[in-house]
Amino acid sequence: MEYVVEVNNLTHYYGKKVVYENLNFKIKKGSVFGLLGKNGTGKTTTINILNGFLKPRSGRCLIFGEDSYKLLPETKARVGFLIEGHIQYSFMNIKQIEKFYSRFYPNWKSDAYWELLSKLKVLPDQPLSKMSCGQRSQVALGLLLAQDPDLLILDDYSMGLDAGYRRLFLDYLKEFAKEKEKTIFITSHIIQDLEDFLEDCVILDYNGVVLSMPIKEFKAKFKQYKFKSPTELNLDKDDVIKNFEQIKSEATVYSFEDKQTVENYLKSKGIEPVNFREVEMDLEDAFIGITGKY
Amino acid sequence: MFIALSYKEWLKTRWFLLGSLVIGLAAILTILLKLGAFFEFNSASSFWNYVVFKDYLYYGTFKFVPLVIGLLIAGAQFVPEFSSYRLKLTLHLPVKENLLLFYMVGYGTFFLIILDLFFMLLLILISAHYFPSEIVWSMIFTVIPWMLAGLGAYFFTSAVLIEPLWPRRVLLALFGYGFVSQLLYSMGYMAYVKSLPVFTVLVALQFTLIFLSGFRFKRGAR
Repeated sequence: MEYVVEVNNLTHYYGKKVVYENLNFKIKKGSVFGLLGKNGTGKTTTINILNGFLKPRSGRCLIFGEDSYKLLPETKARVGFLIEGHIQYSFMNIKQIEKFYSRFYPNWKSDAYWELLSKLKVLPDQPLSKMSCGQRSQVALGLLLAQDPDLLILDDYSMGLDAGYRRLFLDYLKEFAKEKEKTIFITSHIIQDLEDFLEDCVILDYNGVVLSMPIKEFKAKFKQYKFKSPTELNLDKDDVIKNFEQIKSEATVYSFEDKQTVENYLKSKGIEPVNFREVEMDLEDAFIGITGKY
Repeated sequence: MFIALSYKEWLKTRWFLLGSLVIGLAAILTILLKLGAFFEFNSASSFWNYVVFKDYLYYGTFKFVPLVIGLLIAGAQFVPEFSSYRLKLTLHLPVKENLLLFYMVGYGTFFLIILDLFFMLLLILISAHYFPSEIVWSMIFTVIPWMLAGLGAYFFTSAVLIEPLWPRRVLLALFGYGFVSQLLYSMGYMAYVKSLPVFTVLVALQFTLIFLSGFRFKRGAR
């Protein structure tokens, strides 16, 4: 198996505050990988380390086998990077920015950029500073597609975008991902958009990695069960119960175990679940289920 | 690749370079008009009296022009890079990071020197028209420290703008202020002529300040 990104025992602190300790994951060549987590769990920190803009306290991060902090220019040319908020050179117009970047990348595909930009109602001399967030996101995406990188790193592509632009962004990414051996690493705070897009994921919590597995496996195995309980319950997380919440008499447990196992487990704890049932979840439900609402 | 980098710097700085040219020309025009008016109504001996006994610098209007230009060009180049962490875009380009920074500062330095040389040429022409060569030489050696102050201000401001740590920013700004104000302190003729080689070397060394700030930016210091 060939890995494009290898994160080994990555540990980082901001001052005395732990971001995470011993973070490990690998991204297969040609896969779409999501790093998911609530705000402040270390997603952007990881992206910064991956792009060589942050030296981790300890551990290693390899991109195409090279230390991400010391990437060679040739390797950087193979990595496309979208900064959170679709930041680009706002003092340029859309023609100037294409002209500028095209000089750096040998496989530059101008057509990919102009095809995407033709869908926007903007003139070639329109400055980026006078474009909406959605329009700027299309410029940033167009530049990435024209660069034609082997690895695309996207830091919260959905930030500031309405539903239409998010869909447009993802549609183009899906087309890009279909191309042979293109790898995408993505973070987003809008989980439901990524449901049919991600292949593998790592979910971060304030205590580090909560989960690391293929999305299909996560969605198939992770279950939500609801039941009625007239009394207020107090269930701690353990091997069976991954999360628990109760709003008035409606209790919800999340688990990787099947219905019978969970029901028996609750009974073993002295709880008699009334109307115990499994409830279908989408990816966002599952994400909230495993990380909690708070 | 370097043409593309020049293109980016040009897009950021073109109006500021034009503005700098206008500021310098305005100052020199003022000097020219003042001199013309002086000799229209006064004799050469009274001018000499001003120069010898009152340390009058007929080109004093130009004193802060290189400083203002240095600050302008540094701001034009590095404020867009510093805001929204846009420097990450630049450092992600497939070029060695130090080479990128070297090129950016090199671009600014090149244009500052070109502008300084142009202004110096105009000052020499004006001075040579009215005064003997001794006065022209003293003007050159009085103006050079002001131009060094402009370059120093450019180097310090550039480093301050991309420096990620606020305490270091403040420290750099204080050192910069201290250094630049030393070069602008004296109002006398050729006051720095003996220390000029030392100041020139110190300004040249300040070219490297950006690499230290850039290194800390790259490390993600915060």
